[in-house]
Amino acid sequence: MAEAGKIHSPPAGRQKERSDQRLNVIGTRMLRKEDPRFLTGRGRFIDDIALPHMAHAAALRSPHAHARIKSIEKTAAQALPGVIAVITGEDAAKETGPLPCFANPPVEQRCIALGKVRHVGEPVVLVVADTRYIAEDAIGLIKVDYEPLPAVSDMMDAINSRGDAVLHPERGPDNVAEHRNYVFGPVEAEFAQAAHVIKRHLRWSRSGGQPIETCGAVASFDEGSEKFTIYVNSSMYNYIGFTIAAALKVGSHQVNLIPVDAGGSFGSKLFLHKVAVLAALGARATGQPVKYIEDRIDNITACDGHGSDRTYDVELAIDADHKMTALRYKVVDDYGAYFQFGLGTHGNGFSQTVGPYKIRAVGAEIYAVFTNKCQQGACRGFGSEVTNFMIERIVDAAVDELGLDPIKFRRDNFIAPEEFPYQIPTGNLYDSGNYPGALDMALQMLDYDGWREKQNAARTQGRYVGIGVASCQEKGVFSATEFWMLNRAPGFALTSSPESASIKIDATGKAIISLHAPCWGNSPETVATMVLAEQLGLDPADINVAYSDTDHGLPGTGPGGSRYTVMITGAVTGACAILKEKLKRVASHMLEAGPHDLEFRNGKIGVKGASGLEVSIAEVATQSHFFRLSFPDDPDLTSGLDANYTYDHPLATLPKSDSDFGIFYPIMGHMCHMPVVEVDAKTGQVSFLDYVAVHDCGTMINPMTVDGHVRGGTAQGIGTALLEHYQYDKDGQPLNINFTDYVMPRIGNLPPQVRIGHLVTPSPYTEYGVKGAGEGGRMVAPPAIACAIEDALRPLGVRIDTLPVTPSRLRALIREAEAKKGIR
Amino acid sequence: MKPPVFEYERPPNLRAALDALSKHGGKAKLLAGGHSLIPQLNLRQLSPGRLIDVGRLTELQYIIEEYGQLRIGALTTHNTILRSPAVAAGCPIMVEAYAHVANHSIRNRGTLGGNLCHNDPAFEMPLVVSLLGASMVARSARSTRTITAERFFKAPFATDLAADEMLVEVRVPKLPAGHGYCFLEVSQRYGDRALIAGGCLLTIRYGNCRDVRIGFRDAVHNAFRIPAAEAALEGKPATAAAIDAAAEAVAKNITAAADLHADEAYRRDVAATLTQRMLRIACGRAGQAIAA
Amino acid sequence: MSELEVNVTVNGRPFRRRIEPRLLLSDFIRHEIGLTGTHVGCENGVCGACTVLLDGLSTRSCCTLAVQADGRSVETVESLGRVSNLSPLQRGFWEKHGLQCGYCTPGMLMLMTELLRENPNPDRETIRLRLNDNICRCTGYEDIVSSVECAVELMRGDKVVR
Repeated sequence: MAEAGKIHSPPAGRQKERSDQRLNVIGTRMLRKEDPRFLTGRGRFIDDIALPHMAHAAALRSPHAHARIKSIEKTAAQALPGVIAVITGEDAAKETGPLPCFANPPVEQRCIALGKVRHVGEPVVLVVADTRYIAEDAIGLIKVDYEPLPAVSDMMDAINSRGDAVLHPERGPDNVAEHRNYVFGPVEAEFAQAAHVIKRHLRWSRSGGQPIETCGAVASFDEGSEKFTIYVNSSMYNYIGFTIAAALKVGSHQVNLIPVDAGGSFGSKLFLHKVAVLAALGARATGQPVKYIEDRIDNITACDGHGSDRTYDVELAIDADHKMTALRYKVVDDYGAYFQFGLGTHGNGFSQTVGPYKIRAVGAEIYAVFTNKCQQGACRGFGSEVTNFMIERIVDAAVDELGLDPIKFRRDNFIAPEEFPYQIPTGNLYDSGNYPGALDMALQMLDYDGWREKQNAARTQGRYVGIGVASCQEKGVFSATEFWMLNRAPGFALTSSPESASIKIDATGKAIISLHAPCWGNSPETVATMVLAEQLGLDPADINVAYSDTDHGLPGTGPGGSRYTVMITGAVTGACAILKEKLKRVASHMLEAGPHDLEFRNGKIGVKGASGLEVSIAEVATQSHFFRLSFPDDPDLTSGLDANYTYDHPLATLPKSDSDFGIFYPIMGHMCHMPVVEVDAKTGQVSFLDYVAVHDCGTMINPMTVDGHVRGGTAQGIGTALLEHYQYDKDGQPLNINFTDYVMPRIGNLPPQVRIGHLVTPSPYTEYGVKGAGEGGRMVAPPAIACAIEDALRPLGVRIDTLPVTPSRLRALIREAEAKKGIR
Repeated sequence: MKPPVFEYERPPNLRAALDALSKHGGKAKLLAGGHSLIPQLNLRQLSPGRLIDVGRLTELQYIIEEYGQLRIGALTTHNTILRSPAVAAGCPIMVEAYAHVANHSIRNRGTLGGNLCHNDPAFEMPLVVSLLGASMVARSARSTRTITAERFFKAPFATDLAADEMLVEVRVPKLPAGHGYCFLEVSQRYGDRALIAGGCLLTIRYGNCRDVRIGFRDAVHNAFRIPAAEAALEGKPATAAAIDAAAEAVAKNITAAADLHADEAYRRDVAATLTQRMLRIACGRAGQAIAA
Repeated sequence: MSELEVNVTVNGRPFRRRIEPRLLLSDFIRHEIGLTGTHVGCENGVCGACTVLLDGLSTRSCCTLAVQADGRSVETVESLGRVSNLSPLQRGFWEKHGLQCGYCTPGMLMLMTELLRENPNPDRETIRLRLNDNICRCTGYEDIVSSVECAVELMRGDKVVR
């Protein structure tokens, strides 16, 4: 059992670069390295890849949510001019195995459905043709005979499914993928002696990242070397890319995965397997390169990337002094038809399951169920955005029921600034923070008291204006343990989640950084350049960034879980330590001084205290590359100037037991959002009058890009709160399969301005004290907005328990509340 | 999402277009701006054997002001109409509604005729021209006829046009100066498909509301004017009570609909609210401000 | 399945190609002409990533057939500037972080190019109203507005950037 509280002998950590040093490049709003190519239309996205004799694939999508495939009639399709191959699930299974699954026991998913379809949109036949147009024509000629099976769409029904309604009978008699119970600390005892117990039933509907670019791959198979080359807009290729080779039933050295620019991901491209395997099997079957790009319907119905879909029954125990003591919840999560990441999205939530509060016990009962829908993947927050919603909603419920002040109640329960590093009941550690400071900054920026006055004035005019507050955590830098520790049996219990950087300085002093994970729009080239420029004093204009394929790749977990900036900063710092040692060594001979008497200054290496005695890095590089015989004959001094460094997770420990998960996600950012909304009570439309977002992501490498993430994440959070919902009917038919009906925010839906405040509590564990910032906006905006809407409608007593709060739903709640109050 | 195969021709003038329609009739679709048709083709919701591209027939791109009416060529683009001073003066409700029609880029290419012939139940212009009492001029190779709005819009996605007929002109009666008008729309995003949209027109003569027209689109049905609501206000003084009566009549008589974005109760409810709001604005514009 | 010949001027250069009438203008630009800067997001006319200028008017190329551009002039993002000579609009987007993943950016640039040709001095409301046309999933839009405002200043000569 992990006791909640300040850790008195905190782990030492491996930080080399302190956060309180004077910095020249880090912390500036350097313009992005990525932009020139994107601004001129010269990005390299997956559909921009064109190989000679490349063919195009399209998938026949299942029209049924659940059915047996009885027969497939493909002769007409095969005969259509321009069609090269028509591949069924049975054809594919001859040479291709199941897709990767990280749950244990795994759930079998095929890239082309084999024997059975489990959701609308699942690929049933892959057609390869000269053009995508012809491939789609051919699909229209294929006749599939299905035997429909009962479809389950409601997550509660799934728990009780039997017989033919069971999606994976080999797993059990029902559609329960997992059912786990966790007790962290003295939950029962705390509830038994609580002065107050607050309860809520909450519903977080399924939404998703929905980037503007879909998923896709271009694959070729070289018969001569028996090797696949696959371009794919996925991440994690240098981490678990070998599982794609396994699906193709070849050795991992027989697949080279090549990254491309990704047009947004928000988690949904974290690890793409289906599109890569489909393109590759098409290439193997036809002997030509094959491009498979999802169209928007493919993507919405079958991207393997939907977000959490949960129902909560949550209880909060509060003592007589209005201190929160324990939290207990039962959650049912609808994972859809497959289970690629197991219960990872709940493991994620355990990293910050008490929010910023001193809750000392947590009990969780988790149901993961299968339904006939697209499966969940990773979606900005990876499940913790829902945990945040749960916590802040129950906090607001306590405020409401006990007549408390929402600001004071939070403040009185915060973990105090002097209590870090802080251990939470699950065993995870919060590295640093100042939650009252963030709250105060938000209050001040918003002019909270001023808005309360305006609210009162608005109420007298019959207007519904509300102020919301949410104080939430943003975990950063996941460790691999979050994925497997909730499995029934640990399975492959990996413990590494590193990131690498390779830096070479060529003979003219120019630097190339190779990254081992792709660009999602998260500014990796800019961050890596800035850290290298800071470390060595190089001019950013003399630095370029390249991306390694798997043939040349080092271990790279990639972006996700708000980790990439922290990890690449660590990797570049580590590589620079190696480079600096060599630079000093070579320079010491050139300057005839001891290496300890040298310092780096303005892109040069010079003797301390002697301003004239210095050489440029370019000069050292030239010597290093070409003039070996000018230096001593030491066997460990080699020509060249380059370094690879693999930076492991800065602070992770093994899980100890089912009630102590060890340290697995300790780099803890924090946000406080305060939206001001106005509700048109007659139409249920919500508009924003003001919005303050205070974010603590520790030291910021580039405040401009941090602000970009805050605004973008907040916009997605607004979408999740008010607009976005993948809807399925009771037969498992998806109702919004295009952008007309899956409603994402336009500028008109957003506040006129998101006013951003930065609070900085550096991490003691990461280089320069950086923390993650990518997910934060989406992790706090939904509860902040729900709170604001409730506050606006307080005179009517409307409760917001379900997201999204669409106009239709909100108007129904208002009508109900007015009826109760006898208002016409 | 790529279109299916089709034959294509681009007739050089209206006569040739009508001849092509005669010849190919039910197996051809007219292509104007394409921003309704092509998304449908991309989704393979339609498989017309032939597209007859009339998008460049400049002879059908005009706005002619005549005494008492505006004659708008069917292939005039939305943005051209939206910017027309004659339209702003003669039927300002059209300009107000245009702010909600799709978005700027689509309005660059979309045509009024294309929009009306598509009659998507979320489209605003079929409602607007119905409220305005417009008539549609249809031509075939053999004949010309004028069709009232009531008759023209038969059902969602369907019009009264025969397979060989083409809409060539929309004739909009100009409303008297100082008339009241308003168009309001509720949607989840500005510029999106409406959850519900409503429009009204009226004139105030000697303190009474005359020639009252009230109508809605609910994104599912072909409903337009609500006679019971109009009757509640017609001939009566412009007062809050009369407006309340009209709103109640809307709530009772509108055929609201449910879809994935909003339920029936919502549309019914909001239609009543829109009635309240738009009649107040219209009366205000007609010179009779209503107390809250 | 008949093919026909089209003549389309793209970024000032004339092209003649034999194509199927069903070929979308977006695919024509990307795959026939090889200009991959114009991106496809939805093929439904909703997101605007595929926006180009057709005879100077912003147009969703995924909802336009290539044959509709026959005899006409198309401008794509590649016409706006080179890295060594960015247009004020491109420069504004760079200065003000108007892009993250870059996928919707060409559509945004073409839409705003049209706006600034119509009105070289739009106010914030006008920019926001036009920006409502296109969807961005990364930025939350605010930095795009700032980028356009920066471009206006650059065009006016009020601002000089390195």
